[in-house]
Amino acid sequence: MSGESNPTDAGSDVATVQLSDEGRRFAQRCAVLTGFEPYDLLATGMADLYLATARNQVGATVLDEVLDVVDRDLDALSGTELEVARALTYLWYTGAWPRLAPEAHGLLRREAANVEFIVSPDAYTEGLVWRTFNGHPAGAKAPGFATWALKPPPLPWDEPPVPVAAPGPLLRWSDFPSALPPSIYSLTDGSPTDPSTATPSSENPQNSGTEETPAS
Amino acid sequence: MTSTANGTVAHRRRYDVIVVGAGMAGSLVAKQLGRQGWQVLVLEAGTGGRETWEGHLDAVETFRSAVAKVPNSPFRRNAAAPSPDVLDLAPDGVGFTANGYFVQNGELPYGTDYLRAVGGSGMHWMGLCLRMHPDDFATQARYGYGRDWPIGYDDLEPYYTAAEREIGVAGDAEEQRALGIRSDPHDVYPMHKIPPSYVDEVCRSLDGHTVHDPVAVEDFTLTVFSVPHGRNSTPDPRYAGGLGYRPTGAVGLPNYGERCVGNASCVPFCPVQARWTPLRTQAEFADCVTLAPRCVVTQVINGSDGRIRGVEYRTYDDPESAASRPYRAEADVVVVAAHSIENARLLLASGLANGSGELGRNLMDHPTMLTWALTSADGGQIGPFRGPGSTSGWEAFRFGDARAARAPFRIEIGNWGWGWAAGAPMSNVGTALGVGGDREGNIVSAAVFGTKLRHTLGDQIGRQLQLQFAMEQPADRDNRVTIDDRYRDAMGNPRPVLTYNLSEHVKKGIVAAKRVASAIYAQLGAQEHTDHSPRDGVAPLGYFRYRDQDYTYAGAGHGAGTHIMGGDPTSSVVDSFQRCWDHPNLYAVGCGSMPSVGTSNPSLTMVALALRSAEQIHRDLVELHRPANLSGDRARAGGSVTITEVHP
Repeated sequence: MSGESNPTDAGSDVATVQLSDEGRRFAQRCAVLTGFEPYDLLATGMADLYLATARNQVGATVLDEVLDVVDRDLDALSGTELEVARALTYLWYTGAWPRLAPEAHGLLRREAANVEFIVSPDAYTEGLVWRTFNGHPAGAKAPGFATWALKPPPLPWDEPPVPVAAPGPLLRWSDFPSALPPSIYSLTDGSPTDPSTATPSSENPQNSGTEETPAS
Repeated sequence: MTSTANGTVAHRRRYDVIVVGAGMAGSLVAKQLGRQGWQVLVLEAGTGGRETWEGHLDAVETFRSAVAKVPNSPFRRNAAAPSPDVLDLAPDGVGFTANGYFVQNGELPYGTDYLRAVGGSGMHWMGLCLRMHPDDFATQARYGYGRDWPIGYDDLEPYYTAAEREIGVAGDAEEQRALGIRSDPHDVYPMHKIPPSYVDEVCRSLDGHTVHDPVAVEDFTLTVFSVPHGRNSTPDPRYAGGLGYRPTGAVGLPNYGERCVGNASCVPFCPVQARWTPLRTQAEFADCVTLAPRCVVTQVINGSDGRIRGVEYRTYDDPESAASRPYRAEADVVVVAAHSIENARLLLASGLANGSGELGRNLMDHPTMLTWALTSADGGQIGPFRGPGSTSGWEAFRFGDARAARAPFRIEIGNWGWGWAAGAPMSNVGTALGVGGDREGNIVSAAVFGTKLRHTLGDQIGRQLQLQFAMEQPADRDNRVTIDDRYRDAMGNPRPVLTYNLSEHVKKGIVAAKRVASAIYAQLGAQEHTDHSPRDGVAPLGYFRYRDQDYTYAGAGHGAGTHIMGGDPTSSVVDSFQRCWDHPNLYAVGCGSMPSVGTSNPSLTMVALALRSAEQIHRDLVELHRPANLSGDRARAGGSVTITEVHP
């Protein structure tokens, strides 16, 4: 989803506009693990897929238990819950479900092979790790000729925050296609995060805007 | 548009030329001969399909789905025509195991792969297009190691120029001339150089500094040079005396990929096809060239008087299965251009071209030592994982009398962080989280999540610097490809059995490079993290000890040697035209013919040699098709031809 002019991504699914309620809630609960805003997680369009993957890997019961602890207190995570929380974080950061500690694999009595796998080709391109250093996934979302010659921008937390109340002219809701239901950007349904802090990504508003545009 | 044929159409047909292998060399030979009107059959063992847009997208998705994004990761496995993969190798205590297509029985691993598919390894190459230096052609005469070429740089220079035109190379001719490599003071590359990366600029801060090489006992002055690329940049209007150059983009989609957009995945795959592949050459095939994928040549057939009659090949429908049917085609000239190791394997299996006893010997690569560091936090982010894999290098260690003391090496400044050395950035995430447990498999108790995780990763990944030191490996008869009846692939063809090691000369080059790396990092104020030592009792792949120090090297994907050229039939396999001494109508084309590889990525030299061979094959065919002179001694009916080898 690197922009409408890139036919490599033509035909990508429109997961961003078909997010389930539980997928949305899953992304909101995972946000605190990742250090990214719920907005950023939702914008990957991967929430439903990652939720299904996590349930397949460790079962719905264990997953709910882990997320309950995550909701309450990250420091309370221990044992298999801690390892599953790590796996969820790894999933959002890389698009891959990791190999678990063999101890956790045994305790969870998993039947699936304990090997790392990438959940889908699009999941790889939505990994958050690239955004930690203002990068782009290798092989996708190409930034353009000669951009590599430029001094990279400072990391987002070194920049002054973008005002919450007044999004800059580069990012207006009206810029988004009308096909996107406003509920995607509504972060009030049970989010553990205070909605007042749920600002559109404070880093590179231009990029965020284009990434969320579904491929035409 | 490229059209491919089923292998059955060629059965029992006779061609002017049969080319085995649709990679860089084979495709260029076929295109040149097709342009001259010869009937050419190109038999490719692997599958095609990526010349269509759907096939290309399939490779993109396969690449994105691969956990380890190794050179062959975009390409589906093929049991009928298997390819070696870098993931076939695994460390095993102090040694290694090889669980793939290659059988390896050497002291050290041959960590290089290739791809059997339409386009060959040209589908996953980096695209660096360095000419060899004039000194590189005579290392034995000049420095006392390796083997010398029967031709020199001057013989090859026009073909280098032609190769750069075929590929469409982007480079800075002035910088190459400063290295003593291009003789014409006025010529330029088809396209302006690929802009150097910000990482290069960070390294350029050391221009003019000196670094001591303790092995050669010599000080070298650092200067960053850009590297020529087979990758679309901005056309240079001065090219070809002012005619300019029009870039060619993606195959199967017009007006796309005409300039690099910085996907930063050149190896293994350019999603926009701004990097050259042989598919572009195949799209220009004349109608008299037939490209037949899924045709595994099993035998080159010997005729009378040492002349080759044709080939036997097997076609398959399902790459998952070894079910196949045998066919046969004949030709006046047979060109094997299937990769150095495949060429040796096929000719050994055919019992041909080995009068010298050198066939399969002198296997080479550019053993590459990786080093890595974090640049100073004060300097801020350096922007790794952006742009082509490498846009510049330090070149001074490639040249001069130091070569007598140790292998010369080229320092490639990496643009992709610790990707090659450490699997970054994914491995950084796993390590920071502690996922996967400790070495006993227990869950790690300390954890980092949230903002701290994000900030730590951003800060550290954004300062990753990796330098790649590619050694020249001289020809060594003991590094070789053999075949063994016990080891066969699913179709029943012999698998390559490799015996490989590094010589003292190469190891000394690695020792020098390691010291040079540390000196460079110190001068940059970077914190070096290079670690070649065994971990938890397991030595890393490519590990060796030298004078009580630990080192590792990786394969560069630059398979060469195995049918090296020379001026003497008793000590070389092919002549300077890559024509087998033992068979006047059999050519073995590719990096396998190179008696030495210098410190240049070998593809451009391979292409130059292939273009030179194509000219000679054309001359051979013209000679063969000349009306019979019944009064003379050159009757065509007998098929015997006097070919005069020219050694300038």
